[in-house]
Amino acid sequence: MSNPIITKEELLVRSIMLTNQTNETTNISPPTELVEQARAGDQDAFSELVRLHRKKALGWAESITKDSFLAEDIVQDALIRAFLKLGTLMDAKKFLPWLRQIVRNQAYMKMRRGGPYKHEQPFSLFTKQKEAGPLYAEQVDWSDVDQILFYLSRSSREQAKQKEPIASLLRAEIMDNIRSLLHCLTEKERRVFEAHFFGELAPSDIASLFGMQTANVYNLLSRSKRKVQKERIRLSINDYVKERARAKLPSKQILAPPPDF
Amino acid sequence: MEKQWNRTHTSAASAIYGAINYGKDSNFSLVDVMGLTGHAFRINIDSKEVNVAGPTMFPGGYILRRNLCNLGFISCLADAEAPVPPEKVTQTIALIQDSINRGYPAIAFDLFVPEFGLIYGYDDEAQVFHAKDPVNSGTVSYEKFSDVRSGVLFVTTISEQLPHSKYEQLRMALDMIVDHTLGREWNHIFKDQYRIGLAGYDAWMNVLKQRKADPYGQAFNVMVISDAREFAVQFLKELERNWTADNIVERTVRKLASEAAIFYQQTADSLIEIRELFPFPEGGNPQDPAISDRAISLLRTAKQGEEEGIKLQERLLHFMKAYHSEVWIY
Repeated sequence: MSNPIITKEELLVRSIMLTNQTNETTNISPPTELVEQARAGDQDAFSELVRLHRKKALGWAESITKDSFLAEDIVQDALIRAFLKLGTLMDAKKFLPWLRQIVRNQAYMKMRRGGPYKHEQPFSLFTKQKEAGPLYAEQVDWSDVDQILFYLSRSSREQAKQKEPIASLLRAEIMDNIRSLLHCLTEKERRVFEAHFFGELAPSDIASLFGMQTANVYNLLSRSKRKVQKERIRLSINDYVKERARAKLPSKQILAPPPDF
Repeated sequence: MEKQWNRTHTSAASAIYGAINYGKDSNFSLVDVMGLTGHAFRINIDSKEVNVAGPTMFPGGYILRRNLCNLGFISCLADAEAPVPPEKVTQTIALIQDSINRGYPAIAFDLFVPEFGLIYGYDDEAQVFHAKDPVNSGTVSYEKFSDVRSGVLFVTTISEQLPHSKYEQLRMALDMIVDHTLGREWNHIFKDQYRIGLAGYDAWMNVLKQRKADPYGQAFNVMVISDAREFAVQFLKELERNWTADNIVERTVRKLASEAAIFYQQTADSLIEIRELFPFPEGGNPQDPAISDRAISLLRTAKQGEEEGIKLQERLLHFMKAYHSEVWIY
């Protein structure tokens, strides 16, 4: 089958870009059909959803953060998450409260910390034991995909601060990163993975959602994490080798073999 | 069969010896390397069953850095813990490539088997290293190399050569040997499970008493340790043979080394006998009470030799730290 994730991501990033200046907002729940269409992968439907609710979402976020810049950040994250979680929304009628909860989660996570971590938040509420998200690559626990995702989004945000006009493109970069990582998973692994890490569902919920044993969900998550970790390294090595080639560094050097041990 | 002095079962020493010989004017023999790095005097025993990992279960970065230091080299180290962050993977690859570009292979661990080995080439297009360890030689992909499931992504590279005198080399070596044998060496995370030096013999005898030795692991340990002590004897004999009688330092080294060699010969002989009881890889039958008791008795003799030998080495160390006066009129 084709890869629905790719089109959804592109759509999402474009939606966020297109709706940056929107003035429209509404308190009315969106038509159920629109949510259904978006869930089915309809690009226009998702754009429309974002357009309809962006300002509302900003309002929710700003009421918590009292900071419009931060609110903007939170909403962008929340929309990415909402988009990725859309498949797990059972009842289309509950779209608005559901989106609100995501925005509020994002906002509270961001506000929970102060000091040097003021602008950081873990990607998932379920990272209980890790109060602060990793700031630097060396702090990232690469077996923990929450942290990987957090780090990816954060480093992207750091770059965005320096190159403001292309912030939206950097959003695309996050999604590219996530996409390329999840690409290594099988369809089933990816569904469970997304339900856990983006959908914030507990393994027991996932088990009932997909008709699996909870133990299998744990196994699958652990296997998926390891695959994602390997994939992340594979991509880094690819980038590294390309970078060396660009810098015209020697691509090959083989010394005489050592004598037998 | 005549012992070959250019091969050892201590892969750390093989790798160091292999690496430093890429230098233009390296004139260390494998016997020198085994002695001056202290590997000829090591024993590292798993206290549960004398497992196969013992001989390589030491803090690699710390020991190899000191080993290279003794031989007159500054080294670089990569030992990022698994799961290794991608940035550290590429930094480690860069460290290896830099070393190879300077003409020295990199010392790595677990290239084909869990032993020390050498990476002597790289190819970015194919994304492979060219490597060799005690069991295999060939290519290892960057990806596979980086896929460390537990432990660390270990690489040591030779940096600058910073030679010092043979006196310095010997003093630094003795410092390591004495610390190891007397159990004072920094043993990091391994200290709870592994016993080093003289305490290693006790742990080993205890496992045999309980008939809990892993046949394969024990056979490997005795192969490595007996080989090491043969090198130890050879190293001490060569000190006696090659150092002169020109001054008090040279004479004292010769005297104490030749005395120590006798005790280490006792240790080596006993270990060789145990090696014959537990041949690698089958490992004989350590469950047999008669065989086990014989091995315990031989280990006791081996330990006694080492206890006496280390007293002499400790004396030599103190002497090398502060030489006696050449002439003393009193």
